Amino acid sequence: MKEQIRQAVEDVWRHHCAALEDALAESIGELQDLLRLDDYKRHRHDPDRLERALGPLAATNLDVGSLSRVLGKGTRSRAIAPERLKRVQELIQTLGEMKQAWSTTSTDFDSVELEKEENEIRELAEEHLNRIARVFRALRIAQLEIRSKYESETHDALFADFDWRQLGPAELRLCPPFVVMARLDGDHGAQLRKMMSLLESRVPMKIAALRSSLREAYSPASDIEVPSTMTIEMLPLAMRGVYFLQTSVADPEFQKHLFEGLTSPRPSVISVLCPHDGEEQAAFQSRAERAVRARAFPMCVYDPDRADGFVMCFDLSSNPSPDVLWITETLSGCDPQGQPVETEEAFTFAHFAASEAEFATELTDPPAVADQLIPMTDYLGFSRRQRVGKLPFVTLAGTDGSIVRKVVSPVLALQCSDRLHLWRTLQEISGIDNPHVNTTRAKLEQESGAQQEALVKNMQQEMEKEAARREQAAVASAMRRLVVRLTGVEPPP
Amino acid sequence: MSRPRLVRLPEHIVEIVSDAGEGAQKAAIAFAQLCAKAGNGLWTVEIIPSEIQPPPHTTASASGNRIRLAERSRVTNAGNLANVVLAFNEMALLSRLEAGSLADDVLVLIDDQWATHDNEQYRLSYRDVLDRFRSRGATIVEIPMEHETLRHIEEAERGKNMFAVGLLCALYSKDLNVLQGVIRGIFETKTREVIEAAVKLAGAGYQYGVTHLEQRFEVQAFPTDVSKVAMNGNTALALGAVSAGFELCSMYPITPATSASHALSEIFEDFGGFVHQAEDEIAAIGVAIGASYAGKTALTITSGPGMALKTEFQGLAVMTETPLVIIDVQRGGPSTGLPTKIEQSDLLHAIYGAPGDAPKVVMAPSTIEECFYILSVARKIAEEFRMLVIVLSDANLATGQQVFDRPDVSDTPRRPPLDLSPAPPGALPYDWDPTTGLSQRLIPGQPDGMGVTTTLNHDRDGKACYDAERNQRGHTMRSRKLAALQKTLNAPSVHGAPEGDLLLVGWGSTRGAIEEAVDMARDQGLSVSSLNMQFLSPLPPGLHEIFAGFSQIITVELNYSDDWEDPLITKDNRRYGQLAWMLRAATLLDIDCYAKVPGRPYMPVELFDEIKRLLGDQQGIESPAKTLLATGE
Amino acid sequence: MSTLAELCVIESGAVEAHSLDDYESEKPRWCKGCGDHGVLASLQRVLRKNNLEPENVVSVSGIGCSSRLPHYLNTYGFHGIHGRALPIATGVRLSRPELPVVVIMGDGDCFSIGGNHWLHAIRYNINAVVLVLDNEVYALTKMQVSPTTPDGWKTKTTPRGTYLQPMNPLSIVMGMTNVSFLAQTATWLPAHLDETIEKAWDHHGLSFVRILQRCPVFMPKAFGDGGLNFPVVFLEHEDGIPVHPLLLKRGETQAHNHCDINEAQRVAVNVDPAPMGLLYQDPDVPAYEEIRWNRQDRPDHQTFIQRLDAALDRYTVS
Repeated sequence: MKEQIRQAVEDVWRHHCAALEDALAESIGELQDLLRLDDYKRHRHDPDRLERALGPLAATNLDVGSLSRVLGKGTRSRAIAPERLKRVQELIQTLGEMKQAWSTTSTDFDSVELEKEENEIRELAEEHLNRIARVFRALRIAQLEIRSKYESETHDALFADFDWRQLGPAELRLCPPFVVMARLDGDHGAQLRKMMSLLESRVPMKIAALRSSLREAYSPASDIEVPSTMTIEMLPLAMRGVYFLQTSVADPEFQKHLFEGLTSPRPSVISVLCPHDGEEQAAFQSRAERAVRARAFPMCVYDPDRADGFVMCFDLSSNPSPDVLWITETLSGCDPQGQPVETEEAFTFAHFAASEAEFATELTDPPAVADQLIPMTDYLGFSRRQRVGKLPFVTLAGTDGSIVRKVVSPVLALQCSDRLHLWRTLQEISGIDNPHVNTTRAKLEQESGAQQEALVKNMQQEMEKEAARREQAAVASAMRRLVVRLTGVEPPP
Repeated sequence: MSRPRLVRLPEHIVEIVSDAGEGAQKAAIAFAQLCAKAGNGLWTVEIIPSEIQPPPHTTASASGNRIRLAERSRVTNAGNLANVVLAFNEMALLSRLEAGSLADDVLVLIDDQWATHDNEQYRLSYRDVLDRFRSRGATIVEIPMEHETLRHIEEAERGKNMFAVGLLCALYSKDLNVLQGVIRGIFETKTREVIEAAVKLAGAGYQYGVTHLEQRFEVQAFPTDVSKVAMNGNTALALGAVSAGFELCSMYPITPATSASHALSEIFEDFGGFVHQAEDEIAAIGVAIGASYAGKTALTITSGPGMALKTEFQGLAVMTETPLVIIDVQRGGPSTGLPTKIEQSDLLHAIYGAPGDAPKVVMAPSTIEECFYILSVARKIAEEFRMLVIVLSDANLATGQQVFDRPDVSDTPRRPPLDLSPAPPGALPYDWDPTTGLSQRLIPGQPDGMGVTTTLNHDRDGKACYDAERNQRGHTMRSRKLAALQKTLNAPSVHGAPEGDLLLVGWGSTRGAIEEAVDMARDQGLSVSSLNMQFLSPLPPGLHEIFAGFSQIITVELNYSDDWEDPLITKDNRRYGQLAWMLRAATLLDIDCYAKVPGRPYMPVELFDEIKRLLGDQQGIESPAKTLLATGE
Repeated sequence: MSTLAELCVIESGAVEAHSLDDYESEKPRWCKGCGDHGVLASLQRVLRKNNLEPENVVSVSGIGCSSRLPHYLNTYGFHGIHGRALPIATGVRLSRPELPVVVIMGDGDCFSIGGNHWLHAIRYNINAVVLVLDNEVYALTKMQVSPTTPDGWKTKTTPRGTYLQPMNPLSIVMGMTNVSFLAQTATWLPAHLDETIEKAWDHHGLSFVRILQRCPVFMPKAFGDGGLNFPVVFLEHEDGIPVHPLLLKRGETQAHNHCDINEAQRVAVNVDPAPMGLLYQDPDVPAYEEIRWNRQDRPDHQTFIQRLDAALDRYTVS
């Protein structure tokens, strides 16, 4: 199982070790330049140095001794004080040793099992991080020295107590990761709780939660109401400072996302789907893709540093059609009677389970009497009363082109319902389907629609008024003409 | 044919001339390298047509080279009149006569195709020119160069020059194999056909010479273990700039300085530097000053007209005490003048050019070898003294070639890193030491050293001020630095005896001819010596004492002075040569000058003639300098 | 510097927080009411916002009233000669590309005597902020005509009125190859001025900003009495220079796509109303100093000596 993430972890280690080595080399170079400059400042006016700098032509024209005296006069010595010189030399030595140590560090994947005692894990994490913190400490001291800003009075004390807690997020990002391996197959409530306990310590460890089975174990329940078990995907809601990644080979950017997860400065949980023992790569690839499509193993990234709001940090975009509940497929073939059938079928968890060996017992052939059969998607939407006596089924396409129906067992229906509710929740918390937004949208449509209507109505009324007025004016004018004709007298206007 | 006569000579001067574009220059380069490899001393001078696109077969079109080769390894100047001239046509030949460059009894090797050419004019002029030469005593050898070359290749102009150099190889009894190796080297970027054709033609020319020439010369060579290089002055400056640790050269194209930038452009990027061609001369020096100000002393290369344009910025450099090195490759002036010809007339401009009082350091290399080494000195002085240093080269050094000891660069010091340490408390941008005027500069990036560098008058704190006292002080300190440098200079050494009847004082590339003339005169018992000045500002110490040893002192320089014989010229209005003018003022002595503007280097023989003329008239007169010193002035 | 080393500098407290005082040097000696004061303050605010160390900023100027600015800004300043600030700035950028450079010039300094350098600097696209404080006159030398002096104005050298239409520097900048940033603002629009200088500072390349400015002593009536009656139009774009609502008193807004060079050229040609804001920006034009540094090899000392020997080999004859 480790193999899934081995490549990514080793890449990250290699990258960080190289970066640390480079930074050490650079600082060593700069410190050596400091010493070289100091030597130059002390001795550049010595006659032999002058001679060397001036070259052979000077000998005939210049008296180097005299020049040395003229230049040396009045030059305030800006040489480095002896204590500082000593510090710099020691620092160069230390950095050199560190560089040596890091260049020979193995980048092999070394991890700690979740099964270990919590205290032990925490201690190991501290040790790992402090090892790196020592490098950063040395680099910081070096950079202060190079800029002549190191002051013994303040900095000696500051750096005496230096541990990984003083590192900034950008530095933590460059720490080779401390990986804790957790296996979540089967009932993993306890593991989740232990993970959360470890994460609460805020130590930036990377917990790799691996699983190959997607079958949950629920305590028996009488109905498919949302069970009260903790799922790993809900972790970010509970611990908003934790980086969460759930991914598998179905993700076209699998390695990239792993890399990002492993290099976050936050404590991270990386949930990865792994093949069963002995499962072929091609078969596993196909299984992983089906799991994603069925929302059985939704891929998500929660990066607390990505943006300010929770919703902006939670990213479901790696999933196909994240804005719909289910992905629909067109199944075509022949029913058991031999009749051609074409149907649109939503690809639910139950559909996924149909191809999984561990769910083989949960799908049975439908009874001869079909009137209690309800499509799975409808069943999930029914109320408790409506569900009584009904049997949920799914329509599947067999490899031989046949279209069959299978009845879903209550256990499987439970997990189906659970996954549906989970997917809906994920959509909401990632901002895809939010009732608040929907209401506002509708209201706006309504309002703008209403506005349009009111405008039109107003215009209509105005036109009618105008028409009425003209009519009145026309009538009055006609009446007047009639009066004149009849009486020969102009009426007053 | 009878056995050819072999004449052994200590030295010889040969000129190779053709129309522009016919390849005489390349032939000359090949011949020069051949001689250098053999171990001869060498000094070459380019013969450059005065126009860019001269009409062919005219004297204006003559292009080529003069090569002086010698037994001794050190040749210091281009010598006197040429002994041999190889010409591709009679007009090129005539141009050398008109230039006064050929001895009367010169040996002429000339392409004979014009004798029977279709063009009647050519036939006539060919005959007339050769007659003229014969009447002066020259020996004419007509060579069917065109004809012979066409036997081997289709287009004669693509190979005649190689035939010519093969011929010369035979004439001077040099090794053909070495020549062919040199040719392969010169043509290494060309195709195989071209290389092989060139090599074959050289062989053909050699064969022809061996078979047909009645006379052969031998200028023996004594190769030593010391590795030698041959290059021109501009290349030497370029390599010297790299070796001196410059990182930026900012320039604008101007003859005859540009080839130094070309040479530098080819290699500089491999050494952590680059050449920036600016939009004009003023921008070129501006960029160099900006770079120097930021902490990395930079270089700019130009010639006379460019120096004029850069004058305001030169004043800025002096006022702000920004280190800077300017190379001025002098040429004929005034104004556009003679762009490709030598002159030494930027001296006073270099020293006094800027408005106001702007003391600067002015130095002059006297050989191509010195061109390589001088930039290290210039740069160090510029940085340590915070001064503008002007290096005066000239067109002769720029284009000529000299063989000299290969420089040993293994001990080149490493560039020190930039000093970005915080400025110590109380540090001032112009922290003048009252005795020397020296101060340590603060460069951008040094904490607590912020301040404005202004071209207005300022005090030690760098702030603009306008009062009399501080103006005086600013001037004093900038001038003091020149005095401080002067204190470290050695008195120049005298070539010849420390006392005598006549002293010739020169600077720059006239040195070789001067010293050769002095040697010639001394051999004849004349009491004459010479002095070369490397530093022209500040003037080196000891001049009074040296001058006191001589009855008469003249400067020898390639710039203009009025002739005493000219109408209207009296001592009230006579204009002197530039160094003479300066030395008269500095020493209060009646120093005269031999200063003309022929557009070519002086020949030792003409200086020798002048020495004889002067000493013929002035025997036994006490030195004015001696009198002056005796009276204690 | 590598990322890690840079990080350590910031984390280790080697970078202090700077206040506006840190960027103040001498007390400015400009006339009361001169717009230069505003530009100085604006610059100081930008430096503080980016928390730059005063020692790591270089300001370069020519000669003129505005060119006195480096005296009053606490950085490494170079008060150079008339018209020649840009070559000096180029030299600084070429040799020390890690130091940000701001160039301050007047209209005479940049458009007249410095014209040649101005044109070429745009093409070099050195990474620097170039501010031209355009008061349409030579004020320091007491009122001579400048290339941007308005038509018919009387100055000491044109006492009966100017002869030519004033130059439009905006269209010239837009016409030069490699132009990467052009903006115009005015000292009587302080909020706009601040935003413009900030935008210029953030741009990678030559940020050319023309700042209209009224000289209260020699040109008190210029720009419609210092902006009161001066028709302007504010160019507006999401990524452009924000237009505060208060500015709308002075002029209207106009949507403008500053990524479109043709549109920018069209806007630049129109002088009435004067377009204020970001006319053009292309962040992808490479800077000359980067091109040169990238082509350069910086060998260690041993390699340096070896290569020098190899160079001499080419000329060795024996």
